[in-house]
Amino acid sequence: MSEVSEQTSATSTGALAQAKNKLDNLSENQMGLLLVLPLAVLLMVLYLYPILRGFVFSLQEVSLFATDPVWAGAQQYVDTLNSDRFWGALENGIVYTVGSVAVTVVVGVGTALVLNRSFFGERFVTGLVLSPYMIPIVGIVLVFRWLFNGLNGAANYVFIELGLVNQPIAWFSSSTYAMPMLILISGWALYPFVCMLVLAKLQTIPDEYYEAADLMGASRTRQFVSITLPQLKSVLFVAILLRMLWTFNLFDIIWLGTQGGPGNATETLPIMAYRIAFDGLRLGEGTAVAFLTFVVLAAGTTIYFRSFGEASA
Amino acid sequence: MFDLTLRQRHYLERVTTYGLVIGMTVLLMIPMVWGVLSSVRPSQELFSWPPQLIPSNITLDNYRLLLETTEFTQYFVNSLVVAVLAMVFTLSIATPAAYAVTRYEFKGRQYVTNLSTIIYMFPLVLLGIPLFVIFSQLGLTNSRLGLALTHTAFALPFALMLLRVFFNDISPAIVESARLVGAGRITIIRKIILPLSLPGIVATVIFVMALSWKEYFFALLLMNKNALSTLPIGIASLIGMSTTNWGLILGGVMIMSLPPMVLIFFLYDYLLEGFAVSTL
Repeated sequence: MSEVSEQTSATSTGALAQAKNKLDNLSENQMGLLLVLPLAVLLMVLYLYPILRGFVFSLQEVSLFATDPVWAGAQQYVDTLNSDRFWGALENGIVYTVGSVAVTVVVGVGTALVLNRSFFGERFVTGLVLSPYMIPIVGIVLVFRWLFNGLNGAANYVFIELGLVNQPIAWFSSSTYAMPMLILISGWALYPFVCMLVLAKLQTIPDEYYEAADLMGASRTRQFVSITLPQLKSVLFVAILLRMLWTFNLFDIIWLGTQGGPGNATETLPIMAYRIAFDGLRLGEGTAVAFLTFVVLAAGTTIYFRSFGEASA
Repeated sequence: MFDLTLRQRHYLERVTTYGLVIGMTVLLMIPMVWGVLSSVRPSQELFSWPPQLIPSNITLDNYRLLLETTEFTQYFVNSLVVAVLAMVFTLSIATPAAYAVTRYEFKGRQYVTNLSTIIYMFPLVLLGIPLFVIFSQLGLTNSRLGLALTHTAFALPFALMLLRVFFNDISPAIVESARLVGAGRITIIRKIILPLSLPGIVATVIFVMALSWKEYFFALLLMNKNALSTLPIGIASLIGMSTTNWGLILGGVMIMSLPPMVLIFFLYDYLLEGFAVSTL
């Protein structure tokens, strides 16, 4: 955009007219590459270079303040893989990811199916239901921490009245409830994304399909199973994959909710990497954990594609 | 069930629909509604047991305290500055790229269209740790410019997705006829593409700013001066203060969250359109 607009701003000069001519003589391939160039440069500076640099870090013992890194080779990877903490964090990550994605998909698909019906105030309700998508995670976590606060949170009151619990529970500092709590928050924060994907897809299913099914006397349930679900399959595949990637990498909900605690009860791999790098000041080791997180993700994605990829295509 | 007349069936369906709609909306809105109610009630009522649903009287004391005793306005300004910078960077990089992807066949095109899936494979921490070191060497930590750059990297895939939709909507026939009467590439972009995709560009502007507005990780990583904190960091830091004043904190949360929440009403048509054609 920048070079283009700079040129259009002063069209009168001859040199620029010449440049414009040149631009028109470029082939499609050249023109495309020229326009993508700024994007490519930025990706190299902000993604490729840091990741390569990070890989070098992970092979060194670098502290946040020391000036001379010590070469460590693969030692930090070996140490991490041999630590119980790593496997615990991996397990937490899997529990957290599967739990959150399950809640997100159930709520997301459910809300989308309701929103796809026609009713009065449809636009308003749709906006309302999708609105958590725009709320900063900090806001969501704080509101939940208040609602579920251990002393006199409204949730505790309701649960006691309903007879579900006997006394107020400190949800976020109990090693039993902290993880379900984080899954609940993630479900609430992330369902609008799935809802939008599914709703977008539902709106593209032609009405004729349902009309034809009606004429043939198919029940509502039958229509859902035979028409809606198959149409949703590919979008659900994408939604579940992307949600899993996102959730496994998610940092802010866990950090703001429990900081990985109590103890290491809700520590996932990204939290572990951050804690080691910035609380423990061991950048190299933290980066090694971050790389292993990436490896786990890449492996998980490949397995997911292998097992479900063809079924949904 | 089978003996119902058509009219009865219709009624039953209406009732189910409204039951579902109301139940769903109420259930999903509980956290935010409770948050708003708690931010406008007198502080002593916050800790009453049993909790009262309706505040005894509505007061804006928490909001006044927030503005008077904390650096809330400073956080607000910081967030706004970063969001505007990030939006300008993102748009000036994503617009030409999105246009190229929709109009031209070129080598590597599929990498740009699949960018989001590739990018989200990398954990933020993996990016964050080396970026922190690189940025501190360049003096870009504790800098709103530096933070805006990371937000740009983060927002690019979303911006590309949205912009592609709008450029795709422009019929190739218009472009072709303009070319036939001798319009050059720049003229076509300036006179046809940009005006026609303006609503889409506006939607993208709002969306990218909202993304930057809510971003937490890089803001936590790169800004460690209170005066430079953005809203998410600033508000979260109020928790750590000796006595946690929940009314005040929730007030801050509401000022931060309600404006973007309202924007979804204008944006969701565009987002749905974007999701219908893209896998992001």
